[in-house]
Amino acid sequence: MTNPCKLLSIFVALWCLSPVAVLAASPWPTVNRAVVNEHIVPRYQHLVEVTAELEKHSRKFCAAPDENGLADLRAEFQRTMDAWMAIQHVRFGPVELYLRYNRFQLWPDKHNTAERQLSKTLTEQDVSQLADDKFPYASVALQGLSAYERLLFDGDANFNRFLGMEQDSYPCRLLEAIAHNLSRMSADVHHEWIAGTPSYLDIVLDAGHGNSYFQSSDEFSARLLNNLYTSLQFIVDQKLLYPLGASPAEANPRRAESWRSRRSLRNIALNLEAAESLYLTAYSAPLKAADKRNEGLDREIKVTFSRALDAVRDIKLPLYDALQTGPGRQSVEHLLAVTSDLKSLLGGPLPAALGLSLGFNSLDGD
Amino acid sequence: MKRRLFLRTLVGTLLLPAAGRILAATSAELYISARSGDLEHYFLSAFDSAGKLAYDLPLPGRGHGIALRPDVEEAVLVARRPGRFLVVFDAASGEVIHTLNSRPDRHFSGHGLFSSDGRWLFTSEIDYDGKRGVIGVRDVTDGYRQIDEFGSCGIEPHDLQLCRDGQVLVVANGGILTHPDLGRAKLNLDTMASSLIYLDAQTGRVLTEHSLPLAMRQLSLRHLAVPAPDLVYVAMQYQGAPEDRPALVAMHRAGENEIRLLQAPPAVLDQMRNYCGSVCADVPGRWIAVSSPQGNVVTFWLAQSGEYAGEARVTDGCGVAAGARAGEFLLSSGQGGLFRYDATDASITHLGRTGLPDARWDNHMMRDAHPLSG
Repeated sequence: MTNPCKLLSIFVALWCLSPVAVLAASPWPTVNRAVVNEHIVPRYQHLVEVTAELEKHSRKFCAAPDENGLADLRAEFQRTMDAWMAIQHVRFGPVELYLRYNRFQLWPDKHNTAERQLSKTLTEQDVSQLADDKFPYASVALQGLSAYERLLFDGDANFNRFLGMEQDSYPCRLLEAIAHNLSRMSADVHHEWIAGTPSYLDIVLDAGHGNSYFQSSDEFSARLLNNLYTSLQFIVDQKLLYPLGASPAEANPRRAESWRSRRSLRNIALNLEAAESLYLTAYSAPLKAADKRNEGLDREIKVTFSRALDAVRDIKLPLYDALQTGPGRQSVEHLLAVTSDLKSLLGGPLPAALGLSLGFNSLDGD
Repeated sequence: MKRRLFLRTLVGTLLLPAAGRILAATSAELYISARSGDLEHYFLSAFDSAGKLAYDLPLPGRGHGIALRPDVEEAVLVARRPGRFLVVFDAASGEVIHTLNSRPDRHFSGHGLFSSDGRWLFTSEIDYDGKRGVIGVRDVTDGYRQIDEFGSCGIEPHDLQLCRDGQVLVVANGGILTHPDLGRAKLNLDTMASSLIYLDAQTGRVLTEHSLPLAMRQLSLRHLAVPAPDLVYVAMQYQGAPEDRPALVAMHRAGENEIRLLQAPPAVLDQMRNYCGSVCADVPGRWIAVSSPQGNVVTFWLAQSGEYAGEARVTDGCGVAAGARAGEFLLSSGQGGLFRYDATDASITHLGRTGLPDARWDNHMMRDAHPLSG
């Protein structure tokens, strides 16, 4: 005979225990909310603000192109790149829809698609292609920050494509179209994170119940951890090794990201700051909470972040120039070594200690 | 640490024959799979049915499908899409025989297949400039020199198999447009068209072409298994809204026009996450295994009737291969696990980690039944 009171008391005991046990076992629901609200959304919010300014200044410049206006616009472009570099590491969510990630910035561009597309469109001068409803479907290489940089900078400080141009020239209309496109995409991504139905934030917060996007809260944390690792991998392989080459003779400074505007190292510094912020917001506390013995790993990761940031800030020349001198290369190689150490820490010991998987087949199948 | 350093020196240069050979195969069968170590270096590995490592070779990039040459201990690993390399190797010893590249204006799409007499190698390839898919034909007896090319009648051919006793080549056109400049970004999801094409394996002549109804055009037909000469199984991936719940497994019988969609129980379909990664039949062709790595589940089906027959939970499980007996499958995980599943009693056995502590098994696994006979 089963005693109903006994059964009931077992249920009550389970009901009381289980949420406590779950909370104690998984820090991720709380962490995920903090990461979205404190790390991801504010960075997209900032991108919305600077791209709106970029659009405004592009229109102002094109109404009367002159030297001062160009200097002003170049400064706006630098601010926009700063904002993008601060969120370049997030590769999923609304930014992966409609190819937005590539439309923000096509890089690396190993086949020189941007150059080909840009020279084609500047020759054809088909204004109808720049319309709001057409431009998002133009070549991805034309739509974002890489094309905008090519219009403003040529790698030569005295370059001015717009000098002597009438108002509303085709290159200027293209500048406006790109800036508008960037501004609209930023607003859409930000909106979809916080206010869509459901918003991506809702989806992340609901992950604990399992939904069409995430089976569990861990899965969101693991994908973001993968993005953190990928951002270091991107710095090491694409931003440093690719232009560095095996020897000075094989160095190719034009393979560096943003070499025309001479901000390659600034990009890396901002990426590292963003990665460090993500680590501190999302993973540092759960790492230590999982096991007291992880404190050493946490300290090692924090120290390596500082060393990497010091290494990049210590290089006073633009990467473009540093790659072409002996001492410059040495300092870049030092930065490469420290960022490689950091990458290894984030890709091996950290996921293992957190009990999260970076994913393999589940992440990008075929 | 030492081993990784040693292997790393080989990666990116030429593959050295026998460099990865670790120990001689002693078992009656081997399982071959591409894998990654630290997500940056890629290998081709083989192990026996107990999970014991036979060989492990560094690859110039991430590998994908494996083709076995009939009657000879030779096999080909194809680069993952969009890749340029093929590695021809001795399937028993792991010695590299050739490494080849695609034509400069073509990229491999991940899968290859030998003709039934072992004379020709077929590979699914993409002509990005022409925005079309092709099937490359290489002469095995002439150092795998490319001698022909068939049109695949669609964008992005992916898996290909032989059916009707080797006379007919069946090709899954995935229908997703990408471009090497954009990595693997999908460019045409609103207009994609996926199809199943049957070609004469001798001439490349198109015999029949089959598609799903227009309303289901965001289902990408990608991987194939042929449990019987006239029966083709298709594992699909859905590119539409994550909330939709289309069927993800289909069968097509020779002579029929329609591709038949197979229904998993709704709770299992929820777990499959609109994505299937790999499909295979058991040795007698009685059972089918379909992996869904995003949902951490492998589903099983009765081949002739298409009835749902159960599932196994494997975290990040993607590789599936026939085991030696009816109803037996080997399953591999991107987290390094290897499992034997017996569909007759739904039992699963963990095989351990082959002595490769950092192995992440890639999408596909291939059974080689006679590694010592070559």
